[in-house]
Amino acid sequence: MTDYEPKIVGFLCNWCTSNAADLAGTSRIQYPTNIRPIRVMCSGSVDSSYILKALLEGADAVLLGGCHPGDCHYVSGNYKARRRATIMKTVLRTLGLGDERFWVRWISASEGKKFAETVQELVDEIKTSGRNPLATQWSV
Amino acid sequence: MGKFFKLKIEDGKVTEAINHFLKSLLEKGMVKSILAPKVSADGASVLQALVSAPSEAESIDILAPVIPLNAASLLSDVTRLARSLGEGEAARTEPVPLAAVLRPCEWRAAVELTKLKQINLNGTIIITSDCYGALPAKTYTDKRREGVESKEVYEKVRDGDFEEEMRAACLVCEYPTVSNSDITICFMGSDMSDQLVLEANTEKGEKVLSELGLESVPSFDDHNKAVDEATGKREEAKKKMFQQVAENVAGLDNLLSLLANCVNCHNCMRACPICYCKECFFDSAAFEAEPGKYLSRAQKKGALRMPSDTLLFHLGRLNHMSSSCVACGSCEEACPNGVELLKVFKTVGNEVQKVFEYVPGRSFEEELPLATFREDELEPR
Repeated sequence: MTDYEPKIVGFLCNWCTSNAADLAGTSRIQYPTNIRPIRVMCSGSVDSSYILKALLEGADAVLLGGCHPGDCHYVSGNYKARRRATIMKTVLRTLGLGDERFWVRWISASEGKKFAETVQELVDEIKTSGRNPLATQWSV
Repeated sequence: MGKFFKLKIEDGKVTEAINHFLKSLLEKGMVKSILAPKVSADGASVLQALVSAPSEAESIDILAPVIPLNAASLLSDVTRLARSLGEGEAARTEPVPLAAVLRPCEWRAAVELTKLKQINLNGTIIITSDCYGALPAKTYTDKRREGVESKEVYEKVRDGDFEEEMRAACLVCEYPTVSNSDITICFMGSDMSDQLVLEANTEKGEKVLSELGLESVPSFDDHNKAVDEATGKREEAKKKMFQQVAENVAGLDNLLSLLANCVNCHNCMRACPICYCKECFFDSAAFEAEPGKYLSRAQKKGALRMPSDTLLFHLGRLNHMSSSCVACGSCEEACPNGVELLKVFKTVGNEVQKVFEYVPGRSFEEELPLATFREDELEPR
């Protein structure tokens, strides 16, 4: 499975994780190019259906990146995102679909290194677990 | 525990006695209308109606074991009217002189809708009845057309004779009664040949019953006993269902086979009392795509189910409403193709609600899981 390159969709908060991704770049920290970052205004603004859509369409993983608890630019968006993410994971787990392809991580604007490490960690894990079975499933 | 009152029944005519009671609410001007199930002109069906003339109250049939649709949505329609008549927040809470006769699942959904600001309970009198479960509306009508009396259908449902034909939701429903409405009609434990016990759960309920001159009863332990018995049986069935879901429904292949006949009509969502959005997100432009998009998706996967995004719709809906799902089974009854949605929604709802220690319909004080948060909870911290 080592020759397979997972496709990862990243929903990254404009105020923190997106900047962390920029910082990783400007600091010349290497990280896998498997992630397709989508900048969103807040982790709390991402409805569950967009994450589901990515997974059902065959993304191998989704990373939702937001500000650390207490640091949300909009005060509480990340807390709301955390509740929604918990519901999503519960739905997926209960229905035997597995929640391990959906990661939520708090990465601040200054944590370029943490961003790079997180992406590396996610890619490594997804490479071990293999391709998303939904990628070849036509009848979803 | 509330206060108990007794409603006299003559010659075992239960429906007549209940209707006499409801009628007097209208006659004495305590309410202007009553939302209740009412018998159709041909007598074979029961439909929800807003009854204003006392004479129309004579064909109310709250005993008929059928749930035409979850009346919580209707209660929303009729109480939100106050808002459009006036303006702003003041109008939203203007008293609505209305009584509603609901089953426990309907009331529990109504509690959720109230918390979602879709129902205004100010001025309403909510009467809930104990529920032995119901038949799908079509099955009920078929039986009536075959000449079975409504009361007989009720009795057979009560005694478990129609178990195989009953709504799946009712067989695993752990809420045969509720005690947070204004008045509970205690069918369970009542003798019903000469009297029916009504429990006033709130001051409002108590005022109504004493003003109507009903005789009070010191206590009524038979109700609890009968309710416990019914609940115990259904709890068992519920556990079995959860186990069956874990074994035979969970997993991608199983889920896809369960949803194989889904045609994405979204009827389940429209029938769902919790799905109150004027426009469902899944009907919105967010999921519209230009024709070429379908073709490229088909090429990418080799084939594309049409209409597309079936699983996305059901999983998405679960994400949006499972924290408030009361497992009334309206989704399943509304499905034109008999997709067994109830067990999926009830099982997932149960797991999601467990995380937040939330029970939909239990109280007005508990905050909706999606409308609140705590700083020190859940992962990641």
